[in-house]
Amino acid sequence: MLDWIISIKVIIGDRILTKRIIPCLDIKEGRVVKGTKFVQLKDAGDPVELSKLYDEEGADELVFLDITASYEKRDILIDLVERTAEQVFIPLTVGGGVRTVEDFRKLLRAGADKVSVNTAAVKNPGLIEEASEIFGSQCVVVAIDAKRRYVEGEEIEAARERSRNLVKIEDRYCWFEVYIYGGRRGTGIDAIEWGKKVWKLGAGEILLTSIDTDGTKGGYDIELTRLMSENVGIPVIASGGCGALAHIYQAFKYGRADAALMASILHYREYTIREIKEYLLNRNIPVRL
Amino acid sequence: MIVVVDYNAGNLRSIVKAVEIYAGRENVKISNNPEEVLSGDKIVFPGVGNFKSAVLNLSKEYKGMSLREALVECIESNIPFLGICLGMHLLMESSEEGGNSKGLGVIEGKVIKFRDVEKIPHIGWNSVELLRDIALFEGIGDNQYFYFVHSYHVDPLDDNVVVGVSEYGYRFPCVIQRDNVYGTQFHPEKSSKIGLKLIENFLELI
Repeated sequence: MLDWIISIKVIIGDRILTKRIIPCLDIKEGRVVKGTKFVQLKDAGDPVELSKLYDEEGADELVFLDITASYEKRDILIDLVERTAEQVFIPLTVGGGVRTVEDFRKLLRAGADKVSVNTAAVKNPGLIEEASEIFGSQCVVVAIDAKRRYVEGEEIEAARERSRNLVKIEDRYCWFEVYIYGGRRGTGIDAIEWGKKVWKLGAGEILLTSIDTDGTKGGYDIELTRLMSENVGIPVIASGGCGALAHIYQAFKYGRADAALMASILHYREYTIREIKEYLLNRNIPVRL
Repeated sequence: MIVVVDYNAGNLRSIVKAVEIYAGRENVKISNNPEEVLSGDKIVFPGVGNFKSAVLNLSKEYKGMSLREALVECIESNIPFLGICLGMHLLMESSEEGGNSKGLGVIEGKVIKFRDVEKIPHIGWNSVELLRDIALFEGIGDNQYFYFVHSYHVDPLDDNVVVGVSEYGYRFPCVIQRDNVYGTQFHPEKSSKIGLKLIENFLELI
């Protein structure tokens, strides 16, 4: 029934908030890392050129994830954000290595619309509260990297007692653990509980990456995405594992994601954003074309 | 001179750059100085952030005058004035976000938080239904998508000031206009080509 209503809305062009398609660019010292296959771009390693192209093709937002190891080279990122904001007129989220309110301030002043914070928020949740009070919730994105933890036998009851949010996946139970330091270190924290907490602290959005699916191109972690989306009152961006059109559909339809983040499927020109959106629209997922 | 008002409420880079594309760099001034604001012949009043702290910033005196007074005077002199997001909210009398803080009060009504919706903020691209044609939407047309990010929306007393509505849980006003004062809830400077068109239209107003 609901499907039918949504499809009617899409057909008659009724006003409805659309699902967002967000390309993610990994940036190192001001350059796009991971090869990209753009024959039409003179310099596919230039984040600004790539961003302009994605805007042109209908990207709803952009995410820059800075993986520059050295904190001293932060100026390169700031300069890049400035140049991008002057030429690309869709929202830009910048993350990677954000530790303090001052980092927020610099990126926002450079022209970022939102700043995402991950490890630093786990270590100091007050950062979320402080940043959202100063700059507003709308520009505070908390990135959560989560990994499935399967439990069996007595562990199931023990996990329940510790308020883990358990889901049953093909006869097995699992909960989701928050990882920090780029997925290298587990924290023992339940990702859903952490999501609820960051929402209460003033985060405006959750960028949810599954460590299990990231890089596999086997699809988003739908259970994780759905569980998070149903438990928080802020938008959830699904991330990690996008390798096919159907994966994006599943993230929206079954994962109840508000937006989907993707990288290689776009960078390698497997599909254009327009192709993705036409596919979704044909399946009654509202998108902006 | 087109003045983009800087009152310490969010990043101005995109909006300034967008205005510069059409007006030329030499014709755009970013200012927090009431005298300069008064000398402008078009005012862009952007902003994201908190209503209450914005009101505090606008009320600070500078050479015997506050930005608030300068902005009200600009609006009374009927030069084209565009409030965006928080800038639109500040046109109203008060906000649920602001306690007792008073907005500019040039449009009657208040700013309220979204009620009974699943998720707040309302973030993303939503379409805008025009209730009447205005010059600001020349060449854009009805039901086009713009980028929104907000938890509050305006609730004007007089329905006639509402030009455009969007739907999030329910229909809410997202474009208002009275004389030469315009307000948009969405961010034209973040709404790709169609948003730039709106800014171009604004700059052509007299």
